[in-house]
Amino acid sequence: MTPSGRGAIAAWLILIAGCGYWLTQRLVLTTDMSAFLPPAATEAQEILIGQLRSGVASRLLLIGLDGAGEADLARASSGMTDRLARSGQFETVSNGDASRAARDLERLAALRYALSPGVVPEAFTAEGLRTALQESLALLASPVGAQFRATLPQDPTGELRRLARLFARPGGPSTRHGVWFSADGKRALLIAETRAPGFDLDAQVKAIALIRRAYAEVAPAGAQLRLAGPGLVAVTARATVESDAKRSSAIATIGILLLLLFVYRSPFPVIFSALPAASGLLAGMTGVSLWFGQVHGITAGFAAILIGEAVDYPTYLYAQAGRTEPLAATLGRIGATLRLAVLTTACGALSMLFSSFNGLAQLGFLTIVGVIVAGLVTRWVLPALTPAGILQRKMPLPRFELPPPGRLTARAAWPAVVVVACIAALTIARNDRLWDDDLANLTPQPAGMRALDRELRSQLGAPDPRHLVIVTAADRESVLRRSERVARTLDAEVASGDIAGYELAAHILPSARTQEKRRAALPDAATLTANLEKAMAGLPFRPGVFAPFLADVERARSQPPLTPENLRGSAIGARVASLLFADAHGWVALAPISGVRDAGALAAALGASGEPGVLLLDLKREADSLVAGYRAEALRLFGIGLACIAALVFAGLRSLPATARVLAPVLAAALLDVATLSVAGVQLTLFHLVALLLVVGVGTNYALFFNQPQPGRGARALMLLSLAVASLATLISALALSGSGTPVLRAIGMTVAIGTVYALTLSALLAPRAYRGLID
Amino acid sequence: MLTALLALPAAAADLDLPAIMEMLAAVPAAKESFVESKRSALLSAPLVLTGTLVYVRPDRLEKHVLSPYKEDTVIAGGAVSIDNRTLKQKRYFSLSSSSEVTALIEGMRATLAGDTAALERHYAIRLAGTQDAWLMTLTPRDEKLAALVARIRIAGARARLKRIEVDESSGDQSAMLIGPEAP
Repeated sequence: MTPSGRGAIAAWLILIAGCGYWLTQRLVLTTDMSAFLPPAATEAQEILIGQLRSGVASRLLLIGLDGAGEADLARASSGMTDRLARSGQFETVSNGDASRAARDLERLAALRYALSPGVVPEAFTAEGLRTALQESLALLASPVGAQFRATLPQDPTGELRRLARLFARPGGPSTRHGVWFSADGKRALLIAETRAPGFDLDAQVKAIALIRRAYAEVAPAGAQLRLAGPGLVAVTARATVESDAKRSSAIATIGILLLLLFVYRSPFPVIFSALPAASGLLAGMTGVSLWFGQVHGITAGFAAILIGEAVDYPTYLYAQAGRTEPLAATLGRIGATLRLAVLTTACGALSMLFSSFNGLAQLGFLTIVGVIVAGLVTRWVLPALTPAGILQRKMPLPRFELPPPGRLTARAAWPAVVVVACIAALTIARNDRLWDDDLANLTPQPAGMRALDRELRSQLGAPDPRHLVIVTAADRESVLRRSERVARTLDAEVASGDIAGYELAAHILPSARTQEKRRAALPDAATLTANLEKAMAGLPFRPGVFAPFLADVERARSQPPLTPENLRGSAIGARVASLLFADAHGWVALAPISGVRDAGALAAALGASGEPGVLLLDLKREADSLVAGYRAEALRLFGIGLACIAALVFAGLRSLPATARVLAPVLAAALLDVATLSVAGVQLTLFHLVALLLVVGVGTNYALFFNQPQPGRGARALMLLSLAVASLATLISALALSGSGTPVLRAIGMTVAIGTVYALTLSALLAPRAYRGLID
Repeated sequence: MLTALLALPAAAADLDLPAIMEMLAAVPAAKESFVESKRSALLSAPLVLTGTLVYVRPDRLEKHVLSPYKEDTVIAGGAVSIDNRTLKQKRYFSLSSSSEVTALIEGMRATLAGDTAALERHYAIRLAGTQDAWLMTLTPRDEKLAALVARIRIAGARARLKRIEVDESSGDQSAMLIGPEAP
C-alpha cells in the first residue's frame, strides 16, 4: 500500500468515526414543514407564517364524537372535557357547555364595569337607571326571567348580559343536551387548545395521546373519535416522513446490494462499492446536523436518492476495470470523467444551498457533502483498500452493443429535434396547469384527514376567514387604542353593509385608556345611591335589594385595569391571545372580517381613516403571492443549477460542440420528464424541479461517459456495463422513494426515476456521433 | 276556587297522559287572555301582568303583555324575540344557546303541542284529576334546570289550559290564569 493510500485510509477512518459519534449522540430530526415554505416577503406574510407555526390556530385540535346516541355522546363530551381540562396540557377545552361559559362569566363578573361597552356616564344617572330597572322588571316577568333572577340584585344595568353577548362566538354550533353538536345531531363537537405551540411536535403527540386516552375512558359503545387539526397533521406527517425515510433507504440499500451482488458475483466488491455511499451519507448528515443544528425528515428521506447516486462512482470504477488491470490504471483512464461527474452533481446542488427555504438548503448541503465525500472515497480510499483480483468473477460482459455509429442518429437527429421542440412547446402551453398552487399539498396528509378537518371546522362554525385587518403598534396599549379607532371605521362599514361583522381583541380587552374612561363614568357611592333611589320611585322593587350593585360599583371604581393575565385560562382569554400578540416588531392585533361584500370599499374606508399601522390582508391573495414567489424561486434555482452544470461541463471538455453533445440529451430528458409528469396529471412543485436538477446531474454523468473516448470494443462494453449498473442503482433508489406516502419524497422519486430512463436512453442514442468524431 | 282546582282528587280510572296529550295535540291554534301574578323576594308587591297568549301549531307561541307595559314575546321554532314597545327595546336569542331556557319554554309550549316526548326530555310528568279537571306536575330531570325551577303545575280541562304555576328554586313564584275566567 502506498503512503498516500495509507494516509487516505487513516483520514477516512477518522472521518467515519467522528461522523458516527456525532450522529448517534447529537442528531435532532425535525419535520416542521414550514422549512419548505417560502420565506415571508412582507410583514403581513411574516404574521401569516408565524401564525401557521405557533399561532392559536396551530394549537387547536378539533374533536368530534359520533356513532352513538345523542345523550351518550353528550355525556362522553362532558367526560372528555373534564379529563382534558384537568390534564394541564390544554389552555382551554370547550364543548359548548353553557355552565363553563357561565363560569368564565362569573370569573369576569367583578370586572364587568371595565369590560362592558354599556358603561357610560348616562347609564348611571337617575333617568338611565330608571330605564334599566324597567327593563329588568320586564325581563324578570318574561318566560325566561328565572335565568336572570340570580344576578339582578348585583347587575340591574345588565352589564353581564352585555358581556355574555360580547363573548358569544358568532356562528357557533348548536347545543343539544347542553353541549355542542353538529346540525344533524349525530356528532358531539369539542375544541381543545394545547398550551404548547403547533410546531412543538413532541408536546402535540402528548396532547393527542391524552385526547385518545380520555376518549377511551368515556367512550360509549360503538362511538368513534374524529380528530383533526394542524397538530395532528404535523404529527402524522412526522411519523409518515420518518417511516418513509427509513423504508425507502432500506429498500434502496437492499435493492442496490442485490444488483451489485448479481454483477460482481462476490461479496467483497459489493461491500467496497457500498463504502463511498455510506461514507458520503454519514458525512452529509453530520454536515447538515452541524451546519443547520438539526436534520429535516425530508432531508433524511432524500438520503435514499443519494445512495443511488453515490453508488454510481465505485460502479464506474469497478465495472470499467479490466480483469487484470490495476485500479490505478483504470482511474487514469476514467479519473477526469469521474471528477467531472461528481462535480456536476455537486454543482447542480449548489444552487439549492443558496435557497431561501431552509429545507432546500439542507437538501443541497447533504447532496454536495455526500457526493464529494463519496467521490473522494472512490478516488483515494477504494484503490488503496481493494485487494487485487477481487473483481475476477465479474459478470460476463453484456451482449448488447451500441447501434452502428451514425445509422440511427444521422437520420433521426432532425426528426428528434422537431419532436422534442414540439413537446417543449406543448409543455410551455400547459404552463397554467403545470404548477401545483396549493401549499398544503407539501405536507403528507391523507385526503380523508383534510376532508375531516374541513368538515369539523364547518360544523364548529369556524371557517377560516379570508379577510383580516392587521393593526400593529409598538406596545400593547397603543395597538389596543389603535384597534378602538379602527373599530369606529369598521362599525361604519358594518352599518353600510360592506361587511357583515368583525372580531376585535379590544372589544374583549379594552385599552387601559378606555377602561379608565369607564371607571370615570361610575359615580361615587353617595351620588349613585341617590340616583338609584330616584330611579326606583314608583317601581315595585323592594328597597335595599340593589345593595350588591352599589357595592360592586364602588369596588370597580378603585380596580386596577384589566390585563390579558386576568383572562388567562378562560375561553375568552384564549380568544384574546389569538387576536392580540407580540411579534418581533411590536404588538399585533388581528381583526377577522366576516361576510365581506365590498372589499374595495373596506380598503378605501380604512385608507381614508388615515390611521397608520393598519393593513387589510386578503389571505387568498397573500397565499397566491407566496406561491408566485415560490415558483419564481424554484425556476431561479433550476436555472442557476443548470448554468453551473453547463459551465462545469464546458470547463471539463473545453469544446463547445462536445459540451452541446453532452447537454443535449440531458436537457431533452429533463423536458420529456416534465412532459411525462404533466401528461400523467402530476402538478409540479419546487421538489420536482429539485429532482430535475438531480436528473440533469446524473444524466450528465451518463452523457459524459458515453462521450468519453474508449480504447476499443472491450473498454466500450465495460463502460456500457458500468452505465447500466449505475443507472439501475439510481432507478432502484428513485423507485423506492416514489412509493413513499410523503408528497415531497414521492415527487423526487418519480421525477428521478422517469428522468433517469430518459437520460440514459437519449444519451445512448445520441452518443455514437461522438464516437465517430473522437475514436474512429 | 284556585285552591280547589289544585287540590283535585287522585287520578280517576279513565285519566291517562296519552289521552290528555292527544286532545291537546288536536288543537290547531288557540288565543286566550291571561292574568299573571309574579311574586318575588326582589319585589315589595306582586307584579301583575295582563295580556293575551297565542299558540299556533306546531311550535309558535306568543305572549303579548298589554299592561303594565307593552311587550310582545314571540317564540317560533328555535328563535325567541322579545319586543318591549314601552321601552322601545328588542332582544333576540336562539334556544340552542341554552338548554335551561329551552326547558323553561318547552314546559308551556310542548304541553300546548301535546308533545309528550319534548316534555319528557326536560321533566318528569305526573298527572292527576279527571279529563275535565286535570293537573299536570312537571319536575325538572336535569339538576341545572332544577337550580332554576322547582316545579311547574299546569291545570286544565280537556284540551284547554286554565292555569300555570311556576315555582322557581329561588322561592319566587308566578301564577298565570288563562281564559275567560281571567278578569
